[in-house]
Amino acid sequence: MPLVPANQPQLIRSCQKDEYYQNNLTNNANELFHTFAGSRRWLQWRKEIELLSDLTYYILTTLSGYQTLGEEYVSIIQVDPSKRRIPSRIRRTALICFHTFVPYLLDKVLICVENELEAEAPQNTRRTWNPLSHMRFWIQRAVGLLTESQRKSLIPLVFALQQGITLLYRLHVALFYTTGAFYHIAKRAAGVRYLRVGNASGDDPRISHSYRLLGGLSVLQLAITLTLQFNNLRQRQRARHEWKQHRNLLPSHQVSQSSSRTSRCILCLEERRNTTSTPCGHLFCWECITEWCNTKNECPLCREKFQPHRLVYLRSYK
Amino acid sequence: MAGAGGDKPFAKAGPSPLSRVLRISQLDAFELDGALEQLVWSQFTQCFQHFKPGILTPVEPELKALLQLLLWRFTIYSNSATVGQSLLNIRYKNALIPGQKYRPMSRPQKFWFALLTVGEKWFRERSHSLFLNHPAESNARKARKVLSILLGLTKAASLVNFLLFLQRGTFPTLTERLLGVQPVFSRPQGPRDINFQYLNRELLWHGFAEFLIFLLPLINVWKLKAGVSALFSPLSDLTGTQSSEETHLTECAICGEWPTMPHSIGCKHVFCYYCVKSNVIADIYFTCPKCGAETGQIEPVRLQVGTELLQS
Repeated sequence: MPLVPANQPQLIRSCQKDEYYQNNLTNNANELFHTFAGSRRWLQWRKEIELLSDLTYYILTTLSGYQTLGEEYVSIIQVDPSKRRIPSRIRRTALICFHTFVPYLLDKVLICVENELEAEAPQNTRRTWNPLSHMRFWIQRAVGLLTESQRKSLIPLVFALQQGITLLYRLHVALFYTTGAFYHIAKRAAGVRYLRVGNASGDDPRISHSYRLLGGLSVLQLAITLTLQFNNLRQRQRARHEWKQHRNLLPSHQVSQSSSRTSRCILCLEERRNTTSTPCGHLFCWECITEWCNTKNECPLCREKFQPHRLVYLRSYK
Repeated sequence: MAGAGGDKPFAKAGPSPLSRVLRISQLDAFELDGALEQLVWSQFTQCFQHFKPGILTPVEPELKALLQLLLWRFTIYSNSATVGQSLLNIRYKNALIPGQKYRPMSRPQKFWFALLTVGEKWFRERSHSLFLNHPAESNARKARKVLSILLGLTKAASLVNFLLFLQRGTFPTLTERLLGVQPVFSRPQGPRDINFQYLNRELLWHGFAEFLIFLLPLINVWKLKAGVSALFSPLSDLTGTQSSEETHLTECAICGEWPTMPHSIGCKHVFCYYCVKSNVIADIYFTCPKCGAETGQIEPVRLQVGTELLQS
């Protein structure tokens, strides 16, 4: 019985089966913890329970030298880069760490950094026995050394890092469709490959061609998404710039403060700015009535229906 | 990978029919059994779909237990195998008697199996509403608390049993471990041949559909309309130049009505201020839907009134 490299369908189906039974294990552990410890404590420790369930699953299967349920289902076995031996224990430990610990720690660190950067005053957190508390303390000290401008510039950097991680996962899946190896980044980092037990005559050239086409399609979609995001960013900056110019015109209006009661806007209850008339003759601020028309195409006072483009900005009206 | 007591990666195709069963086959058998139970229950409820709604609700746990007992009678009691196990070439063996020869489940094991599977499900469903009628009595409250603790302990034992099953590959559920029954192959197991045609087709079509759904909203409908209208623009040139110019000045190029606060974007057409501003904000590459000109500076339209006075 020959051993041939596993291709895309086997790897995908194996991962689906593993995810299904990992979810079952996590749900059972969650129910157990919820029954004995209560709802509030369960909500507090939910992420840790999930991490512990995944760790238990992989320790009992991969680290102990057995197949996972998904691998058993599609009859594939793990091999090291030489494709001749079972991966060593150190390599399997690295695989489990990359698969479970690294995403968890990365998520925790990014959330802590984001919270510290957005907090106005540095919060004093007590150092307890919890290692996460130590990490939070060190992040607080690191953020405390930064100046205000550095802190403001780091906030979009953290957001870009989070988006970058998501894009990295999607790019890796597209690469997997094209090459047919390493469905998970953890397996690529640990160098663990798969061999399939079965007849090699079942391979179809059209299948790999279709998957390569799917990979190309994924890369194209990713490129379009990135282009759109850059365009949106540039458009938002231009809109912010125009808004600043628009706000510079407001102080000239404030100079002429007429105390007449009839010049008050009924929507914002302040003095009218940029007086605008509806087709029925009622007057409002331009910003207020256009914001209102985004939800209702009718006059706030007499409820006459009209289209938003029928609003008339009265230029010379005071 | 060659663990002494663990599950071997290759199923032996030798003469012995009692080789170890794959863990995934045992779990898949439970999935098939669950699907069959749901199918039987849905067929049974369809017999009563034209009756008064909710007629089966008071006795639903009992009816479900009865249907499961019928299934048990024609599967475990007769063949020592459930329907899912039969589909996967598996049956139960009496593990209490040592030896390699196959021995079916004994009669007490079968009855205890029915009690621990059908009875357990009935009790779990019925216990939810069992203590609702006595909220004030302390005895019922104590019984409910004791019952909750027992259920929690049962869940913990099931979880530990599943973790042991991942290592040993025997006794996937607590019931089988307590009764001492073990799944074995009915016939010699050949190499597994799994077909992935359905998975390939589903994944490829899902990818293509996702790409299409992602791409369609990005297509600029205005540009398409402008392109289509440009094909028919020679027809409008048949009219006089003066009348077309008058039409340009009296109609908004977007909403087609009299322009409110007329503005222009660099071409000869006129727009309402609200129409052109909202489109420019929504689409950074907005172009004139009439002539496709790029958006320049939005400026109010100014007319030459003096010329008309001189002409008149």
